[in-house]
Amino acid sequence: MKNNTILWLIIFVLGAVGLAFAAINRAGETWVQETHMSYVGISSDIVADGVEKALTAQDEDEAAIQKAVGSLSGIGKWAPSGSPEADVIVQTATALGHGDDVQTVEWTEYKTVPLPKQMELLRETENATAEQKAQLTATLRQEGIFVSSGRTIGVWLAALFTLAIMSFLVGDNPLYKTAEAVVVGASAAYWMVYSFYTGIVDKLLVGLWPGLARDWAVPGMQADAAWDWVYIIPAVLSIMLLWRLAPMGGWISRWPLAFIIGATAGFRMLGFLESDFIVQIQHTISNLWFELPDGSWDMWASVAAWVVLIGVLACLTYFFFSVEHKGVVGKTARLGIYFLMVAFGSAFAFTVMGRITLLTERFGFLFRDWLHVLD
Amino acid sequence: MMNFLRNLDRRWIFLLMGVAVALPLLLKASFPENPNPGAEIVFNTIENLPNGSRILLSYDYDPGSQGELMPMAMAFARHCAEKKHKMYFMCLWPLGEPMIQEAMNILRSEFPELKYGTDYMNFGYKPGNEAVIKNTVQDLHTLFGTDYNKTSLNQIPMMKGVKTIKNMKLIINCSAGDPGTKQWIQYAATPESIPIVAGVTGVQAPQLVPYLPWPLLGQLAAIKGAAAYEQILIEEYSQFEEPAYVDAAQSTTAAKQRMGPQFVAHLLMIGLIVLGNFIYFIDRRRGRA
Repeated sequence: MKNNTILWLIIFVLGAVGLAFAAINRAGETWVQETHMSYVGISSDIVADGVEKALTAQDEDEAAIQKAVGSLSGIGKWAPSGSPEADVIVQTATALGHGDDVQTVEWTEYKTVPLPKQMELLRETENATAEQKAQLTATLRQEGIFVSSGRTIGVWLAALFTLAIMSFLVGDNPLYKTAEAVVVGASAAYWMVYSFYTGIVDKLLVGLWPGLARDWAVPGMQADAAWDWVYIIPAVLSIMLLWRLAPMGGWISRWPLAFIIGATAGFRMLGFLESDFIVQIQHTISNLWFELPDGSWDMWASVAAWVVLIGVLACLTYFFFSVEHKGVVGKTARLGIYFLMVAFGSAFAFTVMGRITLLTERFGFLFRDWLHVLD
Repeated sequence: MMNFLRNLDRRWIFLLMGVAVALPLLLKASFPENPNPGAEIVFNTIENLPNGSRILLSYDYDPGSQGELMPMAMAFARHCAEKKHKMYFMCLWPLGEPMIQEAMNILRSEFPELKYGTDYMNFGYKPGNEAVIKNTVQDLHTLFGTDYNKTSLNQIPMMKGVKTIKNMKLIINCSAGDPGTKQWIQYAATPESIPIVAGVTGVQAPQLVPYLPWPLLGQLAAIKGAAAYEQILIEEYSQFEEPAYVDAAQSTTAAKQRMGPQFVAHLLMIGLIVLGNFIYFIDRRRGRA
């Protein structure tokens, strides 16, 4: 048998044993607690109406309105049902003649039970008889705690995809390719939808058709928001950019592209010029002598500043090719290589540390959330 | 033996690395963590601001980097909440949004006295990379218009008196790449002289060293920086060591817990480098290399 076949055979056997262990351990089982939420509130229009009435308050009745609206400013327009704040909202709406317009919004929230509590529940149900288990499940159900099938499937999917991606370490395989395709597809779709809402809807649509945007997607925006003609320019540029998809006149897309490239280049040049060029030179040469608060020489800070200066000059010499690297120039360039090697080594070590952390986090998820061998 | 080592299949090294990380995790091996100067600077910068200072927190990372950055991002949120700083969250990465929600969950559950809109708020994500940063310097209201929940910024109490990020005392950035800390330095911190501290991935950390100590006042480099910061936070605010915080979904010691596997994996790496060099020099001596 080939080495590769043996390796895959071992992995599949280990995988089967692991899955059996996972099934026995009720891997991925996730408990949630449901909480019923209920809020009482009034619309912005009612508050605006109240503020208008309060501003023109003359007699005692209107003063009561003023007081009622004033009390809203501290609590907002929504409050949990049954709370003192909710009573204020109801009283205010009634005082304004909108008692029937008070809205109640209800929904159920499902919060994942903290892991130590989940482990406790798992242990309890594991050692219980069928009757005890049923009793315990019923008691927990009364508290709103139960196993969420949706979240359990979610944890299983996350675990299986993690293992599928890790299987690339053994060699390229269909499981890895499937997981990779899912990641790429899901990420691209998320980016596209999110960018559409945050860019096209939240900016372009809000700028050009504020009324439509408010009714459709941005209910919280100012009611009196006016359209802004400036947004016609990006709208036209966007259409021109998309023109390349048309069968004729593809050249039209080059104009907005030229605008993007030119604007980006100029924009970035300014940023680099100040923070990466001028400020860097200034910091490298401006202070080479440091003192401690008591006035004595701060040797380490001063040495560090000199090392930075020498390192910068040596590295610049290494990249200076107009003079042959011989004699003093050659030796300085050689010193520059040593500085560069130290920098690369440091960058590589940090990268390794980062990658190990990612592995630790994934193992933590597999052991804790999926296999329940850690609490 | 030498021949086996010379032709060692790299998959054995992967397996060794897996064991080196998994074992300390399963055995819950942990090592004492000492605060380092970088973490102390970051901590003191936030700590020494007057209570209630306005701070912009930009979480520019996604789930791919959460192993490194989530612990420090949550520690930043907890520290700011303890100091009653006004927190303005935003992100330049679309997948940074769920990361902000994790911080919001912490604020809601651990600091119920803090209210959304009064003590913290979320601008959400805006596409445009560095152009977004440039616009935050000019006008936050024009840039965002509404918060993440689509509430007009004019109706949010803590936005009163805030026009741009120049009204903030500090920028805290958790960065996994571009756009991230480098862009915040280039387009906000340097031109507008706004102090910035950052928590960054290991890959980025060496590239940002030239910006220290100004305008980048301090940086938490990778998981080591996060662990040191957690240690200082626990030393100063001892309640974060209680089981309720340690066992939380986003633990107050998440980074410290990840340092055990880090230590063993580093030992393995050093061992493998030494072994590889040993074989190389032996071979060279025998004239095989």
